[in-house]
Amino acid sequence: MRHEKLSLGILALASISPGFSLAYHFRGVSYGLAEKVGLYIPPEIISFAVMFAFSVYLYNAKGISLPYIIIVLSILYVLPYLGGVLLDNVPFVTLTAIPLSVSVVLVPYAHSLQFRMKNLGRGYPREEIEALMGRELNTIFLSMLPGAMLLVYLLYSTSLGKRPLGLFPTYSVVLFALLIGIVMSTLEKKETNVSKTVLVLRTYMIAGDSFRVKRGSIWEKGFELLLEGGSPVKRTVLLSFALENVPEYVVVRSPWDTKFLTKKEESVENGVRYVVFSTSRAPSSQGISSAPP
Amino acid sequence: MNWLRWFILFTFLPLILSVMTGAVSLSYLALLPSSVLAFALLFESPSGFSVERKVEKTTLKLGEETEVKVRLTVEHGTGIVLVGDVVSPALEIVDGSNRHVFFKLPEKRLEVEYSYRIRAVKRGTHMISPVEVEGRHFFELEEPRYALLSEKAEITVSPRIVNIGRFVPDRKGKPGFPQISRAKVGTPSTNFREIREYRPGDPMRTINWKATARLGVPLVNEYEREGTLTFMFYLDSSDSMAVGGFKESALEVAVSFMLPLISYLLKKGYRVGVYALGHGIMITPISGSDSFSAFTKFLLSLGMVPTEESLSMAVERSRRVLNGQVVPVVITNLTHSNVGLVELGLKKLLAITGNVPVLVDVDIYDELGAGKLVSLMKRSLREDLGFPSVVVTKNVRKGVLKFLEVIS
Repeated sequence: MRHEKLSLGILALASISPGFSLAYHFRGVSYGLAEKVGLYIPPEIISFAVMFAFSVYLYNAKGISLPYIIIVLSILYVLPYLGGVLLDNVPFVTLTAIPLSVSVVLVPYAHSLQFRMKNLGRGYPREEIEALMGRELNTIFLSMLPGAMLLVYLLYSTSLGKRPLGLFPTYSVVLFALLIGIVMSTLEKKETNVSKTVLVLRTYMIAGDSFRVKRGSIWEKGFELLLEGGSPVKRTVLLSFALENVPEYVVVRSPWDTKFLTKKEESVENGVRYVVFSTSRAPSSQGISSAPP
Repeated sequence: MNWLRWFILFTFLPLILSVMTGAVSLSYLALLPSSVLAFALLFESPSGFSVERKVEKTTLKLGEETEVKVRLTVEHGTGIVLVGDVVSPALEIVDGSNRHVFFKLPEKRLEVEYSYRIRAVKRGTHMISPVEVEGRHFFELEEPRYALLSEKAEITVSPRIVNIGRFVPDRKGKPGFPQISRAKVGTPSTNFREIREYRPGDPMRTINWKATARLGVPLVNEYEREGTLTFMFYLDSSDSMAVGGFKESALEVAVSFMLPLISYLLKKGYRVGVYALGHGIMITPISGSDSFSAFTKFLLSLGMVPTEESLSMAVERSRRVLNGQVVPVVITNLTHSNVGLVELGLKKLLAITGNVPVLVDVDIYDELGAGKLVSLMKRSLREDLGFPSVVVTKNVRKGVLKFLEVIS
């Protein structure tokens, strides 16, 4: 229910921009209504209502996800200008475009976030995952703050975008912000001093509950590990050991199952290079092969 | 479309539009997303992990619980931090969670503590893996950072061993069940039994000079005599013992049955040996209560093997320990599929030892809810075999007492 309300709110917000943009085409309807019914409804309101109804229809009846509806609304917003309508004729062109510009970036982000949280795997406390989404969105809002402050200043100094400044100042601000970020990210010191390499093997297989690891065959580009002992159970197997030469593959074999592991990721932390071999990517779940545990 | 590409596209789209349409004010719309992008570029993935983990107790009895406490510190970066370890399925998490997810805020050190309780649900030496930590960039602009910290924890779980001696009725005077298991006469073996005071007639070579010098009284080493009654157990550890699931399998019941029984037999002075069918390994018959630790170690680490080793083959392999007074005991889950091989093995044991082997049939089907039918079928198989047999269910005390009754 909460999700539904939020979705409707986003649709309403995103419909403002194309509503104002296409209001010009609804002037006839507005006048017609005024003549026949005697009630004057501004064309912007009618246009907004149509856009909102259209987006709700797409969302509910057609089952189209929010990011795609936002794309449709963005196209509708841009259409008049591509058709030759002068922007100066559209009231509050910049101001009304702000909701669309915000939703156009935030909605896909929220969707991606939701997808990522879902993919974290079972076993994580639900309340932590829910709190995580809130904190991540808060961080995004925080990161928007400098841009929002600058936008407010620019809107103020240009009478809500009616008397825009020259090209240079605006572009310079955007480029300047990006430039700082790029420079800072390149200045970031990447750890290059590696004192040892740790091979991490992670898989989900049938193995003994209390197995012992023994070295099996050694091949040119890989080797075999034998998990012996214990009673068979489907479980996550996580093994690690230091070595010098990273193989191309590792075969983990128990009396009941065999897994072929290849390199999935590599990371340097505190001078230790961790090379993770897995049958699938991403760690952490006892029940899910893709999952750290 | 990847959301990051989308994001970058819609960051620059207003700029392109403003150039195309000449509406400079449209470029203002790029301010918000570019602000987010710049912010995301400023911060790296969470890194600088350190973990401290404490396990309250590393030696547990079956069913006992212990607490695991973890303290995580993340120094740098912004984003999601995933932390967790892999707990052996034989250690059940009863409270809390071993996996957590946190958010590392920019320029703020993340310090968190969590704990979880585990319960030992199966015997053996079980592992808790080192702690995995993964830091994911909040905007997914960087590859995740991964570290495996802290040492793995080893938890030894032993079953609760019932002191069966308290429940054994006095069988004094009953024929067949020797009260004194050791032969009083006969050639002394190399199995050390105890140090006792010197008695006239003891050979000089048995005098323990060191002990004598230390205590000032003549002491001699006493060795087991040949002819001590030996119980040789053949424990089936093949797949047929997997019935009942890995926590409460037939093998688990068999081990729970064997430990108190072996403890009792050793206390009574018998020699005991165990052969693990399938593994092809054994403990050659030994005596003395001190030897019990060897059996617990052996049985605690014993798992199942998918390879079949017939009882006859096991008997052949252990033939050298079947000399003297040996009571062979075969512990298995008797089914239609293995009854033939069991019969051959039992007959071979009878032929080699001259003693009638005892068949211990682990039957947990009724407790598993499979109904009486399977148990009746097993009973019919046992009767067809014609060897003395004992049925062992999850009530192992009853099984042990029944076994002692049968061998007497």
